[in-house]
Amino acid sequence: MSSVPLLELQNVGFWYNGRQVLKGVSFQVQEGDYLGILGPNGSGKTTLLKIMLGILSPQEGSVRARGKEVLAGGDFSVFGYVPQHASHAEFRFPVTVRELVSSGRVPQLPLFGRFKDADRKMVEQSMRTVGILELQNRRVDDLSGGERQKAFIARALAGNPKILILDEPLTGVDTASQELFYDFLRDLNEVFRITIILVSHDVDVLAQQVKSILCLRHELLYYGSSSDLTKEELVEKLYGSKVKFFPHKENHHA
Amino acid sequence: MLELFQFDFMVRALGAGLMVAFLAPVIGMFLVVRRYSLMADTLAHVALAGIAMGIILQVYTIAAAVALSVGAAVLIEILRVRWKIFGESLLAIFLSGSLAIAAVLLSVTKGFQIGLFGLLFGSIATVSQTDVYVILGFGTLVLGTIFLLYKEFLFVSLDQEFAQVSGRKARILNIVLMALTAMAVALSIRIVGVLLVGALTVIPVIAAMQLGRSFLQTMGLAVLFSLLSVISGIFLSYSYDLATGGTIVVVALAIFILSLLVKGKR
Repeated sequence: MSSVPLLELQNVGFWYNGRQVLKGVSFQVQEGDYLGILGPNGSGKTTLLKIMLGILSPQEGSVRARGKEVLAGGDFSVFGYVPQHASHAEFRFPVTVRELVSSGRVPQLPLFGRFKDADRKMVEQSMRTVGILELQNRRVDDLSGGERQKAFIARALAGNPKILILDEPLTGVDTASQELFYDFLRDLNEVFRITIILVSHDVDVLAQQVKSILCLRHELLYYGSSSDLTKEELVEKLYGSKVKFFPHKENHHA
Repeated sequence: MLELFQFDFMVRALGAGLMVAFLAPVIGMFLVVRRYSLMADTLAHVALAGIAMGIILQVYTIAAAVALSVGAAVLIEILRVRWKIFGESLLAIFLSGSLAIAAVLLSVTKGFQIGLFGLLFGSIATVSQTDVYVILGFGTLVLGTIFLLYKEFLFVSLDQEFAQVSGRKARILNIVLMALTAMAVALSIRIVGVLLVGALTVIPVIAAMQLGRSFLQTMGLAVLFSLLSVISGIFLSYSYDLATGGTIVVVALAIFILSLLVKGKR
């Protein structure tokens, strides 16, 4: 394990129109981590995500990736980002899986640069890692929600990032596919040693999947191993009320 | 039919028309995938204001149309990103605003013979030799830039959020793409007219999207459909004395309906 954390946030604060949405947020992500960021809607998750990615600059505190400060508009090659809309059915672009995944390689190329053999190999390796190489010539809008999600992950991996960040990846994916998807993410983390940050509001499922959890409601409510807390304790921290979980075949949401 | 080529104006119209047939769908591909289909229509209305301005200032009208459209395209992109105004709201403001400015300016140009019908619906008879050179010159510049920056434009058009995060100069690329769109639209007005530029930019692309299996193949099909529409539209409009732009777009619509039928049978 490297002594310099892959990502380090120190005392990060952020205000929107005079209202503080993040306060004193500090945490570290080490190589090989699988971190789940949990929080109800409006808890500051999206703002935190944008700050980590360098889209927003923190108004207080600092963000460092591999020891270097992350600046808005700077070099974000550390991150492979899978946006929330990746699995949505309204993605109706006439692109093949290969074209989509190749576009993830574009940030690595100089302006006016052409793809070289090494780039094509990286694209193929990314598709192979997520298991969609045989789908490379299919149109992305012809794929199922789960397959489409994998295509977007392959695009993120094509840039050879240090950290894969997924924002609410299971929106629009059915329950059976969700379980397979979490197995797939665990393999990416454990077999391929890819560091993952997963942002979600889904306490029930996420708590069982990730190695460490960060609970957010404008400030850190909990940051530590996912095995140290029960789901009930997590929900109590996030929503401030005691709840009981009842198994339900169709819906995993708390 | 070949005797049509003995008329100089027909040769000029075809020369300019073929370039427009390439330009409109190539630009249209990037507009449609980013759900910016109304951009071409908006910029065409801005170009109309540019033409009116050119008439008043007595400068070459296509140059005035290109300059004003490029300026408006860059301004729209800056307002969208910096001021966070919805893209569609901006298009509505620029479309109706520039039409109002064009109406005011055109009312000042009463003394000039400007052929408003030809401007609105396209006319092959008004294409001059200078127009052909300008359309071919600027058109080559637009197509050449898209060829060189194809993968970058595809990258920013597919997913702007991802592009922004990846640190590529997505904002600059977006502005360059919008400026190229403005040029293509302003150049196309002579052939298809202000009111129908948007149709030639979008309809062949939507038809191609029903059948294409990749982005590149879809773009190729869109250009093919556009060429078919423009060439047959020019000949039909000459043969039956019809408005050129309207005839071209009616052919494009027929191809779109055919594409839906072919897709339905697959």
